[in-house]
Amino acid sequence: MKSLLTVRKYGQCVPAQLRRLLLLAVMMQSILADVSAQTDVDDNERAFTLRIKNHLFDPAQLIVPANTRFRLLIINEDKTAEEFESASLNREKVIMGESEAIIFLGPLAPGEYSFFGEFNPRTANGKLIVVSPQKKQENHD
Amino acid sequence: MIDAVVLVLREVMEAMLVCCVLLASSHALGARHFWLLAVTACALAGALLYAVNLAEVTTLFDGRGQELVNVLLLVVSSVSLFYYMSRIPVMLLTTSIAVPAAVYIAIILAAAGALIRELAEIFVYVFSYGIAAGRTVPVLSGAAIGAGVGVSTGVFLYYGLLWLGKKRCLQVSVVVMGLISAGLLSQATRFLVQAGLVPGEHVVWDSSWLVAESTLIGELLHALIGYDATPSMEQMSVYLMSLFFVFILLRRVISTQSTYNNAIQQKA
Repeated sequence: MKSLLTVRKYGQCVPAQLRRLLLLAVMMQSILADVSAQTDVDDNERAFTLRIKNHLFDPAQLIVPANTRFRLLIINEDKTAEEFESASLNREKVIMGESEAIIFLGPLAPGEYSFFGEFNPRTANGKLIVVSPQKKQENHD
Repeated sequence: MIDAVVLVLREVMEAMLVCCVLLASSHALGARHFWLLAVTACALAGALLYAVNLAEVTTLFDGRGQELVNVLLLVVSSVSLFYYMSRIPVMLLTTSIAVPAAVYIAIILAAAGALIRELAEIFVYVFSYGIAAGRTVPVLSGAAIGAGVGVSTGVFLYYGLLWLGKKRCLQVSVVVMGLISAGLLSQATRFLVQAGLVPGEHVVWDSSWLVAESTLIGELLHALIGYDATPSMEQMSVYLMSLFFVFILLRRVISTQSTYNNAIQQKA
């Protein structure tokens, strides 16, 4: 209570503009903290790997769980660059030759989401098959 | 070669639209066209820089570098477009014919921002599959055909806009620029979602059964109004908010035009 009062008194001495600026700074900080907190959580998320070899995706059909956030790590083993693109997933990212890139995905509803390599649209085609966890269990049995 | 034609055409469509609407509207306001040289130089240099450093840029910010640079370019482009649109009524009212330097800078930033991302992708493609793969001639000629088709469409649109006359040209330009900049901001939001910084899990609708984004109409609509077959709620709110500002700007342009006309009629 005492500290609250002192804060209030202190606040009155500070000019209005500066106070607004301070408020903005605090807000920005909380947003940034929020973002970094989110990334901390992201580190524990599941990651799935997709490789590009000879202008083909491997695996061409990747099974991922529904209703959860995950990372897609795309490793391009070719010397040439490729662009991962998917209209249904709303993602596009250039992956340079012999390098890798991360794409954040989900939570996705169960279903099939197609993707393709924009630099090799006729050969580089793939699908993300999103299944709900119970169904996946059944498939394993 | 066909792949190169299609790829380049897809990439240049949006930037071309931005450039020709800016050319036509600034011409109607009495601006000279020398800024196009500055845009070409900035865009080529910027795109080359981006393309060469793309591998390093991708790894920045925990693998979010590419998305964040794209967001920056998209935001610069759309904010410049908004600034330019907000200056149109002021320029209509001032008696001096010279267009202020700030407006030229906004035009250059808007066009260059739209071009850099697309050109960088084309450079990466042409280098990877043309020059490095020893297929320079077919890939480069394909790219040239694609760029040629894009540029000629742009020229056609430019003269079409001028043919409307100064008043209508400005009104149509503001509408088109407004739709494009709303689309650019929606794309920026999509890149933030892709980088995992904005949730984006609630898809508002799925109209891919009607107009898929990969079709020609889908591509055209994407360039013109920022069409997305599966927009997220965040994208949609940014888009609608931008459209609201566009509507205000359009009303200001139209009302300024009518007061300007009335003033002339009274003088006569």
